Amino acid sequence: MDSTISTFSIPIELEAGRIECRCSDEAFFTCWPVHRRRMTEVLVHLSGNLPRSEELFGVLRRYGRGKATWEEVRSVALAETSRWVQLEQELGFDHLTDPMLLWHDHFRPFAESWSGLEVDGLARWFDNNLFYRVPVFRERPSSPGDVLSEYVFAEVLRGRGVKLILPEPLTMVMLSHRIVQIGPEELAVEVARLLAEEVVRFIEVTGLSVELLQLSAPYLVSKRLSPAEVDAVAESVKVLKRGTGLRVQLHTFFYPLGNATGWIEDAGADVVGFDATVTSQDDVLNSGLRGEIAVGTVDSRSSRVERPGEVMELLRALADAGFNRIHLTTTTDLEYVPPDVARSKLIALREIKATFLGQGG
Amino acid sequence: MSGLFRTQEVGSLSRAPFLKRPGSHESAEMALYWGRRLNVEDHELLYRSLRDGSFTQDRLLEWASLYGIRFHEAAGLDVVYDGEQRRVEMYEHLMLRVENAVFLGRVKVWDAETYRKAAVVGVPRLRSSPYLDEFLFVRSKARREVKVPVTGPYTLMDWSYDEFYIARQDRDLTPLERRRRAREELLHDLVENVVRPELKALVEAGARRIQIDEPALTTKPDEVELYVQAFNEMVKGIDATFTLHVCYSDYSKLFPHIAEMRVDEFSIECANRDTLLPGVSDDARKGYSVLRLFREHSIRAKVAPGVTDVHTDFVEPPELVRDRLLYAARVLDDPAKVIACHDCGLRTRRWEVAFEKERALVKGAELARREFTGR
Repeated sequence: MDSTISTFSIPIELEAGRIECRCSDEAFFTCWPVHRRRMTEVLVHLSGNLPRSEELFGVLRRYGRGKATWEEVRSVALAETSRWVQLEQELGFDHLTDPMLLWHDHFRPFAESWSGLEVDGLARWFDNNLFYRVPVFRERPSSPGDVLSEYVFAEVLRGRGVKLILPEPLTMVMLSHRIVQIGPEELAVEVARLLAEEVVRFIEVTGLSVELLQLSAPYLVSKRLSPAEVDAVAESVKVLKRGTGLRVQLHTFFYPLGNATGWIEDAGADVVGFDATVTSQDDVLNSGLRGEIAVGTVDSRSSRVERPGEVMELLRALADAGFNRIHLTTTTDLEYVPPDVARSKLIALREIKATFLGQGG
Repeated sequence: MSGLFRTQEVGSLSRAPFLKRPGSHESAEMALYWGRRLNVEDHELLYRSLRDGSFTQDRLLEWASLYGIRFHEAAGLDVVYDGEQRRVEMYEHLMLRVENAVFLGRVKVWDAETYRKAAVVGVPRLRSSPYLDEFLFVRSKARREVKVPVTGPYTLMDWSYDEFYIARQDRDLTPLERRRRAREELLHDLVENVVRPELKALVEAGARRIQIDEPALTTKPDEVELYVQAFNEMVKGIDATFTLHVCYSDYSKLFPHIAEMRVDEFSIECANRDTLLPGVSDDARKGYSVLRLFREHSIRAKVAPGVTDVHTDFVEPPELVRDRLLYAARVLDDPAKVIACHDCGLRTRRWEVAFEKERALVKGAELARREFTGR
């Protein structure tokens, strides 16, 4: 947060969360909304992966045909990861995220590595022209070791707090086939335990400073959940928070946050994220959420680069409603757009933050 | 035409084998091998041009088109095309000829598979015909009935970015309403300015059968009703037999809306989700359970359920193809409503495998026909 800022012609000093206004008493009430926005902490980070280059797609295809080694794939992916993370740093992102270039889909690293799981055929990823391989839970799953270190390039994620992005357990289970005789809700909590173990091992092995754990959760807003499903989500969040000691961002996308009204505020997440391209302002304000929120302002599925002015009204409304910590982020993965467009979208995120903090009124 | 269980292709074949490294010894040998096998007229000319390097890219594509036609004819299909040998990819081929479509780069479809994706930056209009020259060539060479595959407007919309229509929507609308209206307008313009003009041009040039490819149709189920209206406007007054091809989809999302569609045939993928067991029991033929919906909703159109799986090298025995067709006839309660075809285009298979699959399709249809005609 900026320590000294000014609105209109009235200087305001902010110190350790304390606001001192030099307005007259009367003027104070007029400029109070402005002050409150000033008191809002704004963080910027990504809520999903970044697109692969044509070179990386090429070497992955050659690897699939047995004409390139895994070391060659990793080498190209590492170089690209370094460039993306450097851009995140240059843009001043508050958390660094791995671009997840080795992840074919949200579930694959775990579906291919955990015992008791297999991968099946392709299925559509919600309403996108993008497909994932369906995990099959044949037996109760268990993890053989540190899966995340294989898929996250920890060596380039240094110098700033890291956000790890994982699948939300119930989303993973409901988008899988289940042969094992365990109910989906129980299985989701089991997946949460395994993910927590993965995160702990990953941090032990890499020594990274992980500050936030995102659970990507499109299933939670794709329809109204049953009470048992809602309980499973809350239990999974609890297991992951307790198991890792990390703050958790429950990040929804593709569908309106309104589909989760009435329960998501009690799910136990430190931050709830929503897709502003499908959620109305009223839905957010009536969601029951307060304090901290992640706003998917940059549309990951559109090539049109957002102009800051287009989202100011929403951000001001959130600040005025008392959200004192706003995470500006992408709606979801940026693999829906080519790398050049993704780059512009990252810059747009920074511009949105600057505009929100800078213009005041 | 063979009466019941007409056989037809769905669209693409993989590139003709001689197009791989043209000018190489292997390429010339492939031209000779397939030329003989498919009985392609004057194929020695191609062979010689590949040997002495006198070929041009345009001529090679023309040869590939001819080989594609003869491929289907040699396999014995009733309705043929050229395996889309001149097309790069179904979406890109058409969008490259659309004004106000700007290609931005490759995006992932799954794993390491990608496609080039365009943004619509203004009202789309057809700049030049994507299919007319191709159709005229096929018509001049084909010895069987011809069906032209055309990429449908919904898929063009769904696989493109929209930078124009969404931006002009009223900001006071909810985000979902803005998106809904933008897509409705884009779909309308793609129908009116891009696909319908091409359909008219093809029919004026003599096309009688046209297949509209819509692999994206069930992506957003709440838009199926909108599409049915758009489709009906698109084909209104155009005198041709229309097939709608939709593959790898949840077909239940199409109902009940498609009952209102002015389409003659539905081509759908079923073999990929079926078992390899022989017979016509429900358990053996579980991949065809969707056909019940066609009957329950009294769909008037014929149905072409895929009876060969294009995603495996396994060549279906003709008896399995027969059983699948007989099961479809039983569920639809009318063998005259069943057409025999593949799940989708065979472009994922080598020509050797694709040819065997297509022969099996034709033989299986013959076996099924015998059950009804005794011949």
